[in-house]
Amino acid sequence: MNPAQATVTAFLARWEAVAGSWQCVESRGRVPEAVEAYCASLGGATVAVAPALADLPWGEAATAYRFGGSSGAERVGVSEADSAIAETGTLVLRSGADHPVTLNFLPEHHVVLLEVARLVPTPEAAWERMLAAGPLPRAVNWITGPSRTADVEQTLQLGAHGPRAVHVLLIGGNGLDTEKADA
Amino acid sequence: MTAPNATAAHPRRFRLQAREALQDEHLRQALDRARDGFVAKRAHAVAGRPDFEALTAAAAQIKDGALERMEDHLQRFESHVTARGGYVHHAVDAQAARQAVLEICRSREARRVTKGKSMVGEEVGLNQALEGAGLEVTETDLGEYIIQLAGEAPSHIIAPAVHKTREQISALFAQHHGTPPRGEVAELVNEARSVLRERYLQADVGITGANFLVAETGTTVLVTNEGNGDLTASLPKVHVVIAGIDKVVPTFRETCTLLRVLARSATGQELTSYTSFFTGPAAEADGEGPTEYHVILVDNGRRAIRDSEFRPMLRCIRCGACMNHCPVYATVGGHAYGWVYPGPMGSVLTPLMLGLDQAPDLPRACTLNGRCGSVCPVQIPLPDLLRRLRERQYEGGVVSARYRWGTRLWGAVARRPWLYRPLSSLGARLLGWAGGTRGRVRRLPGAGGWVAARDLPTPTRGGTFIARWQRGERP
Repeated sequence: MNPAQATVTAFLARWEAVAGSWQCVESRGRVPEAVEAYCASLGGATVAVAPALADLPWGEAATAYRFGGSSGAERVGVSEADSAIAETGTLVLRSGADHPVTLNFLPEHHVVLLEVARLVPTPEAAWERMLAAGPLPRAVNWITGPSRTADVEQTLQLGAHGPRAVHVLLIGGNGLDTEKADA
Repeated sequence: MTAPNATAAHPRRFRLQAREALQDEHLRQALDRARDGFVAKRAHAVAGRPDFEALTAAAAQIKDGALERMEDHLQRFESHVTARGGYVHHAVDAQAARQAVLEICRSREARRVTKGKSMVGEEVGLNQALEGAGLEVTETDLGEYIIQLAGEAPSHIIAPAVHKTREQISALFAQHHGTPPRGEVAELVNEARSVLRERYLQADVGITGANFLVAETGTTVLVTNEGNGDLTASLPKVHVVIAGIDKVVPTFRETCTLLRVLARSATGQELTSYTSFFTGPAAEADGEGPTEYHVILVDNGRRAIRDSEFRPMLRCIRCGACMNHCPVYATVGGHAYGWVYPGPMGSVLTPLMLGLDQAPDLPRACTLNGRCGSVCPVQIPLPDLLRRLRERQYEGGVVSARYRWGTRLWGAVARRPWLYRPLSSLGARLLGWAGGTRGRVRRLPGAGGWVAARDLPTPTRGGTFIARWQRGERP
């Protein structure tokens, strides 16, 4: 059952407020081209993709992609969120063989798939969902925007150690971003 | 207890350290900037959450409940960690904590250690012990890294380098990295990012703190903005978590309430960029991550505090709001307090942990204005606890003879209105005469401490407040 439109809008507003970016993607099948377009916008990039996403229709460009954790050399990491929290604009990711956490922290840019149906309203709801899914993974990461620091003269700077930019590919959002562009 | 370095700052030397801080112009600038930032950000975040007061009451109750049954929760926490293949170590004091960590590093023949920011790590003197054993230790939180380069202690519990200006940081980097000095904040952060990247990848052991310990699943919670905690916890083969026993919380649900008030109070964010939950070591099948996971549970006086009238202090979730709103901290900064914990929370914890006689001035370095208590997200009655510490110190003979006799004399007069009123009336008239038309005096015998840096305003019209009130005057 899809979350209410208001929940989705709330999540996106909070996500933007923490300097996250996002776009709608029609379906999982269209993800590879979205990733390619993102890399093109950076002037080209080396990419590492979570093994869980290996079965997506990756095309020609993906022969150069690494399917696995990040070695530290890739500029873009691609993984999928287990869920997301609307109240705080937070992505929930779990660690595992098919979801290496290095993808969340080493590359400069983090591209995250999010199925709209997985959006939950509150942190408590995110935990209920996680605990119901069985034993906890080694690491559960709540990611609320890019890495940042204000340790030098209280001046905010993004990309302290983790990614400078986190870009959500929202699947099933039904053209929310075109609505936004028209507004 | 781990004692502060004998030649470095010490809580006993607060007055001297405070006086030195007052001469430091760079420090004043840095503190003004920090205070304005933190205060405004917290106010904005709190305004955005109309139920904030109710949340702090709920948070206080959760912590009280957790402390009430702390031993049960710790047992449950431990059994879950062990069931997942992790190890729990109980450290009764600072030395035991250091020993436990050193033993883990030795058994793994570790050479390089990365560290996320951990106040309890500072409390037990972990870095010194590790370096003393020949290990290379890299602090990964940018603020901690900066002060590590400077060879200084943290001056704030969440912004350790808050006392440093950009120029000072630039000079430090140029000196230690061998790079040309950078002018812009972005350049400095980028330089740190690339230097520290190497350290993350080469570390044998990663040591982090924990903001909370969730008993229901044996999970440690780590709150950062930089992501340094995660890189420290996930890249090396061994992950060591060090945390005070007062961090234990029964369930995730309750942890969520505490998280709601933590970042808002600390930095004005709803949540920090990274809130991470670690449960046990990585499985073989994961292909990455630490295969060894240790949690060091540190007592170091916490059980004694729990069993005393000062138990509410253990509610503390280390947000730093109290020191951000404290006029004394804002004027002298964290180093003046001489130990790991500065500001109001430090003025309570330091005497409790090191001994009342080791920090005689800290409970008195307070105007009792009450802002700390009013901004505390877990409603710790800080002014109350500070006042009680003063009473304990007085009873324990930890005050100077002059102070003791002075307060006795004042008390004797104040309890006798027939004596107090005419004496204060006389005093007001004398002061008024001394101040003359200027309304202030520059010198006053017996009040040297005050007039050394300020003029003393004097009553320009005769009479005490009570006398004028009785005559019918109203403000």
